Parts: sequence; structure tokens; C-alpha cells
Amino acid sequence: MKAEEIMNKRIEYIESDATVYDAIEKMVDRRIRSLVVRPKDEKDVYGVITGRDIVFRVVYKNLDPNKIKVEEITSKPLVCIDKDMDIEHVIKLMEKFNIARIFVCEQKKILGVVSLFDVMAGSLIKRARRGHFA
Amino acid sequence: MINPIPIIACGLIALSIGSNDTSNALGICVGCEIIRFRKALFLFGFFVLIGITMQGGRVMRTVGKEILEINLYIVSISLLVSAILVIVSNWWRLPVSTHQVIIGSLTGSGMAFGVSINLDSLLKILLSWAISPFGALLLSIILYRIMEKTLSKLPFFQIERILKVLLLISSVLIAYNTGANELATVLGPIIHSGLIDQGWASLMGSLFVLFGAVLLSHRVIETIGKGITALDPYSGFAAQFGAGACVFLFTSLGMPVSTTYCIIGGISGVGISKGIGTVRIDLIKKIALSWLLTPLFSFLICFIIIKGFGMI
Amino acid sequence: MLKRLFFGGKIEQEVIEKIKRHIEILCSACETFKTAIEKRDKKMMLGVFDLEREGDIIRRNIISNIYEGAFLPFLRPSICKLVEIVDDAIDLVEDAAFEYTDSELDNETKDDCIKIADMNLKMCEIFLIAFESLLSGEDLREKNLAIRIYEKKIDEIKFDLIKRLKTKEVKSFWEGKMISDFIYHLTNISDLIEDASDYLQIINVSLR
Repeated sequence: MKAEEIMNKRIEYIESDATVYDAIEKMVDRRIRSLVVRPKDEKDVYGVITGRDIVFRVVYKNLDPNKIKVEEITSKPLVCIDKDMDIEHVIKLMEKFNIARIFVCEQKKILGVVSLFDVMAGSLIKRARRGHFA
Repeated sequence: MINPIPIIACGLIALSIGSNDTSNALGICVGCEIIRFRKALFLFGFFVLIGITMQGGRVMRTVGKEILEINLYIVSISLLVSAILVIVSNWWRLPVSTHQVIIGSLTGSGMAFGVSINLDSLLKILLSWAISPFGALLLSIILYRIMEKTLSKLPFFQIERILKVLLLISSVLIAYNTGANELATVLGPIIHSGLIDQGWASLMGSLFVLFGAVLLSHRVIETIGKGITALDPYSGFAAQFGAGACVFLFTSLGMPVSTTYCIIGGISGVGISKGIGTVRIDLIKKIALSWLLTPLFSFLICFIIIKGFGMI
Repeated sequence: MLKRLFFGGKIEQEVIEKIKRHIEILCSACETFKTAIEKRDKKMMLGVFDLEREGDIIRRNIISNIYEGAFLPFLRPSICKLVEIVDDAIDLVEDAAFEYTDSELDNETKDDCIKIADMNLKMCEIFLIAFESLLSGEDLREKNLAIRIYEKKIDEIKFDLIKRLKTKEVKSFWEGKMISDFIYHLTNISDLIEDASDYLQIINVSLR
């Protein structure tokens, strides 16, 4: 099973100078768990902000989300993989970097994201089809 | 001089058995459309004959010879009273076991006449009546467990096909028991009093049972859909076969027991296996009451009648 | 009669083959639908109508066979219900096909619809596998769960799709209604396949 088969193509973006509050609002409205942070300028790279970041670095510390900028808690750079990568390999990477999602990129373009949930669902579907057809 | 009264009485009781107890055997098979009603009736009659021919002797001996010393008067009165009681209670749709009525009547008549009653034999019979429903319950539980471990593992449509065959087998078993146990109980007295030859009695008895089922088939059909048939085919088989096996065992021991009560035991056994906590206490009370009163009632009536005639 | 019992199951076998064929028709309908949208081929979409008709004929055959005496009476209502759900699903594909031929979709909507149609097809395929598993005695639970996973994914796409469509302008009431009905029918197919899969489970446990 390849990464491209189970990835979620719906990627939501946010500006790096937006507030964490904006990020939370976007995540709730769009029902997603991570946002890709756009680079500030040409020298900057893409990053990601996740629910984990918000909870452990803002909520837990009792900080005001309105006052924290997204770029302060963004993880950079994005961990990218090729769309043809095998799922076993993807899982190993996620374990190695201790991340819950990994991005599928092709020549600087983000094609989609593979989360733990996608891996789990994909493996179940593979089991259901096992012995029948691909 | 052949006294026709006991023979006629037997015929009437046999007719009753046909109209009431056929659905014990056929209900689930006909309800599941495994076999059509007409064919089922003849299958039923056939296996009743086989049952009484092959194993009827033992129960016949117990009822006709071992309980008490039979004589013509005892036979006549007890069978006549039994026939009336059975017909009346069927008319009023009261659940009554022919075994209990007959044994009660025989004992009552015997006691009134002053013949010695083999208490040992009688006690064995009473014990069988008490134990058999529980035996059926136990056998059904065991059978259900076995089915869970074997039949359940098969693919679905195979289970369906096998179940159809199994249900037919258990229906045949109940029909066989109706001959070997129930009909044998009725015929035992007249055979052992020398009124009629065993072979003829078995044949005529089976025919009368079949007649009863055919003539009153609307009654049979009425009861289809209740009792076991209310269960799903899977549970129904466990209940019916457990009951049938139990009655078969008691028949081999020569003990007359009621298939109907055993089936109730079987159904309860399946209910327990499925973990159904609610037991219908009111139903159990009704059954226990009938179980106690029936033989007592027939005993008293015969006793009173004979003593009454004696006074005159 | 006895022959029927021991060697038979012949009429049951026929019904089983027909049910399998019926499910295959559902799969074909979904596949035709998806390919037609991908290629923007409205003529190809008409193939769905033929499949729906074929499905109807088979369904009627199955139901009459069942009431002619296939299977224990205890099982018949569940099996009939299963066939009717599959038939309803095929009807929905037909409805969506009809509405597609009468509407124009923008690219973003079209992409989402292709995703949904693709997942519908995958759901059907797993449902067929599930039915075959029922026949062979394999466990159905994983297949049932896989179908539910797809259904939830489709629900997510549906939610966003409808949100986005609400902002779209339509030239007339009927144009809007056509698009709305199209989306409604397209997204409901997966609900029915999920229902059918649940019914398969019900049938599976009814004799154990």
C-alpha cells in the first residue's frame, strides 16, 4: 500500500503571523487536526501546527491564544515523503520522529497528508480485501 | 365376551392424542416449511406405528402389568373415566397429560377394588414424572452448547441446510416417542388384560392417532406457531431434540412420561443457555398445579365411582 | 421432498447466485458512474439506466424464488430486505446519473464528486467480498468496519461540499434543485451500502 492511496488531499493553510486563536477557530470549523503554516518570506519554509502544539504549548501553560502568534509554536520544516513510499516505511518514519502525521510532497508542492488515522483505516481496508483482490 | 367399552375408550383417547399432541412433533417442521402438512401427517402416523411396535412393549408392561393386577372392571372404568377426562379437558383446552390421567385412574380404580398396588413401581413412575422435564432441560442445554461449538462454526447457508435435516430428524423422534411411550401407556392395560392382541392393538392404535390428527387437523394447525415453533429454528431444534432424547431414555426404562412437559423443559433449557433471565413464574405455577392435580383428580374420580357402585 | 432436502439447496443456490449478480450490478453501476464523470461523458452515464433495469429484473426474480420456498421462513424477511436495500442503492445511482446529465458542475465540485463516486465503488467491492465471506463462513466484521470507514470519509467530503455549494449562485430554482438532488442522491448511496452491510451481519448471526 502506498502513501498516495491513503493520503488525505484536503490541506488547510494558515499565515505565520496569524494568532493561535485563529488557528483554533480554523481547525474547529474545518474539522481538521493540523494546519500548514505558510512561509513568512522567500527564505522561510513551510511548517505545521497541530492540536498537540496548541494544547501542550499554549493551553497547558495557561497562555492567551489571542496573544501568541502561530509562528511561535510552528514545527519546521515539514516532514515530507514521496507519494510512492510504502506504508511500512511511513510508519517507521512517524515512529522515529514521533509525529502523528506526515506530508506527501512532490517537488516543493504539498499533495496531501497521511495521519495515524489514515494509516489505521487503510490497513483495516487492506485486511478486509485480503485474499480477494487488490 | 369381549367388553367393547375399554377398547372404545382407548380409541377415543388415541383420537385425542392425534388431535393434540401431533403439533409437538410436527409444529416446527411444518412451520418452517420443511415438509407439507399432509405429508407430515402421514410421516407422523408411520413413525407412531414404528415407535409402538419397536419399543412400546416396555411402557405397556409397566402400565398394564407392573403397577397393579389388572382385571376387566378396572380396565373398563379407568379407561372410560380417562377418556372422558381427556376429551373434556381438550375441549376446554386445559393442558393435561394422558399419562397422568391414566395412571391416576388405574391407581384409583385398583385401590377402590382392593387389589394390591405395586408402590415401588408407582414411585418410580412418579419420580420419572418429576425428573423428566429437568432431564430434558439438561439435555437441551448440553445440545445447545455442542451446537455452538460445532454447527455455529460452519458457513451460514450450510447451517441452514443442515438444520432442515436435523429438524426433520427430531420431529421423527417425537413421533416415534408418541407411539412408544404415549400410545403404549394407553394400550398397556387392554393388552395385558388379554382383551386384545398386542399387534392388532398397536396397528389400530396408530391408525386412530392418525385419524385424530387428520380429522381435527384444524386444531393441530392452531397450535402450530405456539410452543416450540415460537422459537427460531436453531433453538427449536435444541429444545425439541433434547426433549425427544429424554423421553426416549425414559421409554427405554419403561417409564411413561409426558412429551409436552419435556418440551417445556427443553424450551426452558434453551432459554437458560441464551441467558434469558426472566422465567415465567406464573406459567411454571400453572404447570406445577396441573402436574399435581391431574393424577389426583383422576384417582379420586375413579375411586369414588367404584366405591359408589360398590355401595349400591 | 426428501431429495430436495439432501441434494438440494438447489433453489437456494440459484437465489444465492442471483443475489451475487445483483450486487455485481450495483458495482458496475458505480463504476460506470465514476468513469462517466471523470471523462465528462454524459452518453456513458446512460449505461447506468440499463444496469438499473437489469437489477430490477433480477430483484423480482429473487423475491419470487424466495417465496416459492427457498430458505427457512424465519430467514426470508431479512434476505428480502437485503435485496431491497441493494436495489434502492442502484436506484440512487440511477437518479444521480439522471441529474448529472442535466446539470453543469464546476471543477472543484466535480473533483469531490469523483472522490465520492470512487469511494462508492470501493464500498461496493468490499460489500461483494463481504457477501462472499458469508458464503464461505469467514468473519464479516472487518469488512463491515471497512465499509463504515468509507462511509465516514464520504460524510466528511459531503459536509464540506455542501458548505461550499451554498455560496454558489444558481440561475434558476430548477438548476439549484437539480444540483442539490444530485449531491443528495450521490451521497446517500454510501448510507445504503452501509445499511446493506449491517443487514448482512444480521443475517449472519441469525442462525447461530
